[in-house]
Amino acid sequence: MIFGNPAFLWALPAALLPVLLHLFNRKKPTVVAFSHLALVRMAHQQRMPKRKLRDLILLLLRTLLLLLLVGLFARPVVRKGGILGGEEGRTIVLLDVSASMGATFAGRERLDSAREEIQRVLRTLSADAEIGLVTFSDRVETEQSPTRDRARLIGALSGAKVRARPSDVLPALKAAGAMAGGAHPGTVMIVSDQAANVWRAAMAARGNWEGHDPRTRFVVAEVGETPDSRGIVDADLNLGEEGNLRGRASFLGNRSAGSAAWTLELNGRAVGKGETPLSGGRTDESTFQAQLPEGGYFSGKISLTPDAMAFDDGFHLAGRVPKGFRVLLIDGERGGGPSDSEVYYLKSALESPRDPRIESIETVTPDAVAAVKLTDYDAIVAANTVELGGREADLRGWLENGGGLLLAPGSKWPKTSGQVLGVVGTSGRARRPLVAKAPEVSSGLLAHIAGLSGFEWPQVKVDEHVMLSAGSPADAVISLADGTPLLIQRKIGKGNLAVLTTSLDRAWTNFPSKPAFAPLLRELVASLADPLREQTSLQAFVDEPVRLKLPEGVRSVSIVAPDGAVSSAGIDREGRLDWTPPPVTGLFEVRTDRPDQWFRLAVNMRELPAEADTRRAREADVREALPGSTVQWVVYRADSSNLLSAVQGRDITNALLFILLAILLCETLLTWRPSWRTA
Amino acid sequence: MPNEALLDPVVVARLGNLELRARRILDGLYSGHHANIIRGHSQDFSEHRAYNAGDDPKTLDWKIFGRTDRLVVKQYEEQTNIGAVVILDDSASMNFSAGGRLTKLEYAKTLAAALGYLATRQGDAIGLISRQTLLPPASARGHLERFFDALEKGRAEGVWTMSDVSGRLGRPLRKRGFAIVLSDLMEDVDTVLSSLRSLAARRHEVIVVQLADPAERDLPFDGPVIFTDMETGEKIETNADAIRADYQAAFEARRQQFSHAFAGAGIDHLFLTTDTPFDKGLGAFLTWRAARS
Repeated sequence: MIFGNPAFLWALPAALLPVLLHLFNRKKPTVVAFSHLALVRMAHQQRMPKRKLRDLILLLLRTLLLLLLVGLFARPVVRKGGILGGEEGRTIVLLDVSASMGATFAGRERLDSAREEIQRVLRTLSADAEIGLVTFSDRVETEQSPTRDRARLIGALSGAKVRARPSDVLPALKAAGAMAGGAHPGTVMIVSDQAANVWRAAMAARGNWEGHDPRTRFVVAEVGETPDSRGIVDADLNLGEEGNLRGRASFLGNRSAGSAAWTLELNGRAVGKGETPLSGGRTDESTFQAQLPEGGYFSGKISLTPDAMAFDDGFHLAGRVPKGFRVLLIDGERGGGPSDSEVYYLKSALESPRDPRIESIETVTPDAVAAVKLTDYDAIVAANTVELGGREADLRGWLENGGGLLLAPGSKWPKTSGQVLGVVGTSGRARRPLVAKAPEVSSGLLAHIAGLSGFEWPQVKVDEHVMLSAGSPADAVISLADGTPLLIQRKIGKGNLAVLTTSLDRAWTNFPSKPAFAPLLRELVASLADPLREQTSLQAFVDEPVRLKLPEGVRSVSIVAPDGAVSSAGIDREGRLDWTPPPVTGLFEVRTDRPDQWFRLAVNMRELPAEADTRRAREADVREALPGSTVQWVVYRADSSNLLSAVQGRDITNALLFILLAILLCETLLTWRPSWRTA
Repeated sequence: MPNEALLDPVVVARLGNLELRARRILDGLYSGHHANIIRGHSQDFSEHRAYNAGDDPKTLDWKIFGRTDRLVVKQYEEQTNIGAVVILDDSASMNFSAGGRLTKLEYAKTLAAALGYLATRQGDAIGLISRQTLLPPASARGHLERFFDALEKGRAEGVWTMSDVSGRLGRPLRKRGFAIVLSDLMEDVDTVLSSLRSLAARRHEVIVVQLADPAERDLPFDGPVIFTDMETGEKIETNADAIRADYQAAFEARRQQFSHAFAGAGIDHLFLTTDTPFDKGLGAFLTWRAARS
């Protein structure tokens, strides 16, 4: 037997207190001359033997009571049956350091509670025992090979910090399997909040991972209470069509329904607040909006009232507001009325409502381009235009220097092979009815367009289209059913070229009348006007590499972390930021050698919904995830010692408590003198 | 109503001698009772005598009152020439008292004195038998002084048995009479009963007044106690708190046992504790006697 708090054993002599009290309180008998002793003798013989026996039993019970009280405080543990009781093999401790381990209870971090209890376990284990340590989130964070050096182990344990990452025990189980080795599989002690997401991957694998030995014994310790937390698990903020910022946030309320009061802060100022009803246990969404902040960049945070789990109390937001685009429309065939114009549908898309990013839209005929200063425009759309009165070379140069050009064919385009404006070659025109094929909308240009995923693309019918003479299929953003590109995008020099292979009006296709046309063209023009369009949202995730296109001319970059620490970052050959955020969430400032191009990057956690979900893994599921192994499930609270006793042996505290209560009951019954007993 | 404080046993005991005590008691008693200790059962008229305070008004001869305006009472054969003997237990146990109360013997002697005084005033003979005394019943005025004197001399010591004393009753109480036993009855029920039965068999009317100190009934001692038997010197160490309930139950059972046994043998039985005021004790005795007649 060992004791969790052996210091209390010093109180054992207190058990003699009843005996001492009995001796000290013993009265000297009074001598009474009495008339006749017959009745006294009778009562004495009738009562005193029982009385003496009762007194003796009471004395024993009270002595035992004090012994048990001391025992309870000393926390006795019987080694027999303990996970480590006399068994050989290494012990590997897997300590969860995922974000949810940072939850606080009574001002104390859950990880601290876990760390302290593990340290107590380590101190009580045999000096010969080899102990290893793996800290994990959804990956192995740190490893300490099995060692007898307790100081090193405790040092490794002390260095464990909460990571802003989700939790998955499987990589740690693999690492533990590799560490255990040898003839004896040993014991793996998993100390975690045992949230459902911790075991999701392991439950799917069901022991089928490298290094798993069914003979391994597992102690699965659930640390800390389940908080009634509310969190923000996702949010974004973008430029809306009305010219303001429109955002969306997902809230998760654990356990009970209620509401979540949030505040939105951008560029250091509170710009919005609201309250979102929570259905409890499910994700609830809410939208919000804010005025465009000054300057081209914004950054801030949407926050909830802090609760026990801080990591999901706020979601960082950062972005760039592309605006001030100047667009030139070259109308190759104006027609009899406005609606006959080649660019009628395009102008409608850009102006109804007016795209807030666009500063000006100017329409000219090809002949008038000669008088136009191309560098005054960020994007040019040439509809049914094949020549520019000798300025084709200027157009190409403008394009190669970073311009954005959209070409749309029409009746003027060559019916056979030829060059158009010196930037694209055609192999002729095809006249056969085709429908569009549903494109991949999860990335690239189309990813920025709301509602495209539900659009029925086969509604788009194309009766005639041009065939481009050169180009990679990879350039195709949207294709027709036979694979013919409908829209391509490619780089030319520093510029961007997009080519629609059918007309911008309804001469060859019904596309302009379809709901997907307007948003597609708006985004297409915006992306051509703004080379950084695809990264208006400056969001990143911890530990995931960031590849952000930097403004032209940037040569060096440094990053300032939320805590003020400055680190350098690389720039790749394509002028992109090459940096991986540390496992810390917050707003990281990207400082370039161009002070007018400093901006902030919001770094959040990946898989927040899973990590913020406080539902616990079920013991039965965990046992299924570890088939064939002995699994001891331990619920550890800050005021209990279950983990220690589970590791070392059978905790007999409850048994002692039961005996103590039984003794108290006996003592009460023996001393209870109700009126019906004294009558 | 009598002044109860003046008839408290402790107060009465402060009076110098038994005669004074007896007078005090009877003075108090007369104001509330019509006392006649000895009353016969015969319907044979014997004689008239002058009415005394305390006589039962039912015994007044109203015809003579109508003729002569004098109050006289009728006496019957049994009420004349009847003797009464007080059998006084003077064993060592009678010396017990607790809480500053009278000893049982003192209480018994005072009670006996009052009875003797009363009997003599009514013209009845009174005698005394104890372990140390044998005074045949007589009604002469000088006899009462001897009666008091014998009571005064009585000391509680040694062992007393009812059979010893009852055997000596034959000579002083040759004719039918009354035997008034004043004892704590610290004897076996059967022994006491067999002794008193022999008296009853001789047509004596036997009245047993069982005396007890309240402490003997309640056992009011605390914690460990060494009890020493006042008669035998035997010692028992016990815990008074622990045995109190059993003792009280046994005491009450024993009292009931005596009561039932005496009732079965036609012997009158009265239980008195030494904290009972004398007028109440004597009054209860007389009232109870009247009811029994």
